[in-house]
Amino acid sequence: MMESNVSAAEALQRLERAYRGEERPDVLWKQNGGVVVGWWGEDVPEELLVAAGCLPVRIRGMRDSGGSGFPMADKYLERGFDVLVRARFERLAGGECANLDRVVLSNSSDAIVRVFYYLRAIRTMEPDVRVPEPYFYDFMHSRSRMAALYNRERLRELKRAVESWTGRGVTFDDLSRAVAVCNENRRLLKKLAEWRTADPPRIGGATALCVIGAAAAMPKEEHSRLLRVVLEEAPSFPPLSGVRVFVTGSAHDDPDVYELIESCGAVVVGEDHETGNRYFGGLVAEDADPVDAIVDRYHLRSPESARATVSERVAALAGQVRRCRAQAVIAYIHAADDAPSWDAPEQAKALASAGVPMLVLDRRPSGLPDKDELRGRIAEFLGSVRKRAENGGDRR
Amino acid sequence: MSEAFRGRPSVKRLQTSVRATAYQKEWFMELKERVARGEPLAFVNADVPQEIFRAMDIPYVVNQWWSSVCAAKQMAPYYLGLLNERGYRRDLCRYCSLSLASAFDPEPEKGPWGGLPRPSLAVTRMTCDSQAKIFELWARTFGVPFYALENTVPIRVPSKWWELVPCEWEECFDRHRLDAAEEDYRGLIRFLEWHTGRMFRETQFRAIMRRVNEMAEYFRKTRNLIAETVPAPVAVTDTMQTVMISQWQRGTDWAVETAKSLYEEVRGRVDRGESVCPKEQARLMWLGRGLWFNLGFYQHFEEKYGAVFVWSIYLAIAADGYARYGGDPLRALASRFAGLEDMLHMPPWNSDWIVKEAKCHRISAAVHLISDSCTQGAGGTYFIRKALEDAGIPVLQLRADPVDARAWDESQAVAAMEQFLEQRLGVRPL
Repeated sequence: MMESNVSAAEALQRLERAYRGEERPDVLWKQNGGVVVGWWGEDVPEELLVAAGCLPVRIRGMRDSGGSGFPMADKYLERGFDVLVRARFERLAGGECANLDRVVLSNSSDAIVRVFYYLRAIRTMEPDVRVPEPYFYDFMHSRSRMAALYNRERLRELKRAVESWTGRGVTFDDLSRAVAVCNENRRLLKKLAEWRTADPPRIGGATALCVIGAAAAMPKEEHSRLLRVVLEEAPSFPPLSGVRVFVTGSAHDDPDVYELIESCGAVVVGEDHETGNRYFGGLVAEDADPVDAIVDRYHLRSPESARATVSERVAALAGQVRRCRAQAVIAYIHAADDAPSWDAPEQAKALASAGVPMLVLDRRPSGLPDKDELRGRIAEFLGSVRKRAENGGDRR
Repeated sequence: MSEAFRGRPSVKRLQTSVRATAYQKEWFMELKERVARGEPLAFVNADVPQEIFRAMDIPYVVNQWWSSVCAAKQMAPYYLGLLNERGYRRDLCRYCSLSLASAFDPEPEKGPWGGLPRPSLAVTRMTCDSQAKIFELWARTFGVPFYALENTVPIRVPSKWWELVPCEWEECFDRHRLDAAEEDYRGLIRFLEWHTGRMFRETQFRAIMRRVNEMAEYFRKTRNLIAETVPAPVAVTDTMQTVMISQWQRGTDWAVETAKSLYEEVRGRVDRGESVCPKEQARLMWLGRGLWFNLGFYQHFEEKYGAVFVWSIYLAIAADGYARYGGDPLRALASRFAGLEDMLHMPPWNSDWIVKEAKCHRISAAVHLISDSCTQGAGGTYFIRKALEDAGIPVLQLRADPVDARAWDESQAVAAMEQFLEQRLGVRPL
């Protein structure tokens, strides 16, 4: 648990360590007899797992730092799975997540659906491979009443399953308390986002990505306590300067891309992917039945690429770019991540008509093997944005 | 376009196949006339319940059918180039986007058989991340409405699904999935009524469902006949197109007659002792989608090695996956489409079934076409391979796109096949 007199710098350091896996709250939780549930898919309701007394942790992919690639992913997954999925799958099938009591996956992308089938098949056909038992949460995404009702039934099923994992029932009050805890964390993260979009920004994108990611790796109350410390001192953080960039495209399990962008003279003021601002967007209503309210929050959030039409994504991006007062957009898309690649041409057109240039970095490999070349492309793009702003072409 | 590989068509052995190929052009020209007279035209994905459109007498064209026609007519490189010019990267999924690409042609009348007429609406199912995007882009290109059906995921894994689905389908699939699909279909019917002014005819629908079962029965008999006959009376090139053309005409008398004719023609060949290769040396399974732009590829190995591709997913799934008896017909239809994705693309549904089929057909080896740009079409390749190899059946994996000839290396594919036949199976040229 956190010390009461921790400084903002120390709080940030602890959050970053939890995010990077250098601190393992999940191991501690398990040692204390708790149930740890991994989740993969942005529809998995953390509130329910918190209400059941479990520690929910997002399955996060690690960069291939040792150059050994992703042998388990290469073995089981087709080449059409994008690099982020491969990195996450590697951790699950490579034994690194064997301590998890369960892993809950949802159909927030086609790849995750397939991962569920493959994990289940591995457990049946190759029981020596240590993968946690998968549970599938079949969540619909279309904005229809049918989907809303279907999702409520699936949430009730998941609740019964979680109760069987922990051996105790989850009451209305348990759910309400967990909703309040998760909402409080989201409110704090929203304040963090405000410091990113402030003029000038006080929090950079790479830092924010770590802080947001840490929320999915540690107990919510502890994360909120540390985050409050950060927010309290945020007004005195040094102002950041640079081109205000919004990141779209694939999700990021590592801040390296943000660090690279920001090292080129930019500040990442926002993003729309699952491991960034979208993670905490939207609150669960606290004055409604918790099952209804939880489903609605996950169902009605801003659309993620894999489960939205192009026009939905275009409209959502334009709105978020405007709210963040971004000067430019970088679409960073992992190799084989098809959904954002389908979005990009129409997004670029719409942004161009609003006077916001977009750089599309598509088919990106794992890590940054071409870092210098990429730095050159980003720097050139940012240079053109700056020049345009100087010439009065910035129509934000 | 001139740089792209040009495939060769297969030599047709069966009159049914010749007739079916001719019919699809006649049917398409008639469809164009109907549309020209002001009738609606629906553009639908392969996994959309076309029986509904037929029951409403709404002419429709299936996305993947049009893709295969464009590919067979060697138009894919040109169309895909148009897509790429609009900023869509070259290695995006092509099987399902080739029709979208063809919609960008400034001279659509130069397309196969005078091109696809302007549609009235589009319907897809959200079986992968790209489907709703492709169909929305397609619908916006023509300024027409589109409907996206939900896709749900089965939790239950029934043992030997192929024995259960015809009659015990209610037990085979999760009940809540069937409930949702039924409701979704009602929404689709309402959408179609509203946008076309046509009515869903229950009597016609029941007749369509009955005809689909009749067609499936003939396909089952044909599949069984091929499985039990050595040397093989026909190869996949004799069945793939016929089965798929019939499948897109599912529910019509023509489709039933064609399936019956296919069976009778194969039966005749068996009775007369006619085979693809009298000196058959290997019976091969073609896993994955057909190589639509190059169907002649398969026949090279018959001629040189007596290696016959006797099995493809097309006839096999038509035999095992479609028939539904009893119950409410709309719910039965929901159960037809609730299972197809898993049967074809998801382990253990697909791997168990493929091993069963391989054993029935006395398969020597399997060749698996894997399209890296489509996760949906290449589901569970590791598990299929493992299941087959555990059953003693070697597997060769070929990587190619089923419709995009631009990346096809004929000499490399032939060399890989020949090496596989000679070194893994010990087959020598005839």
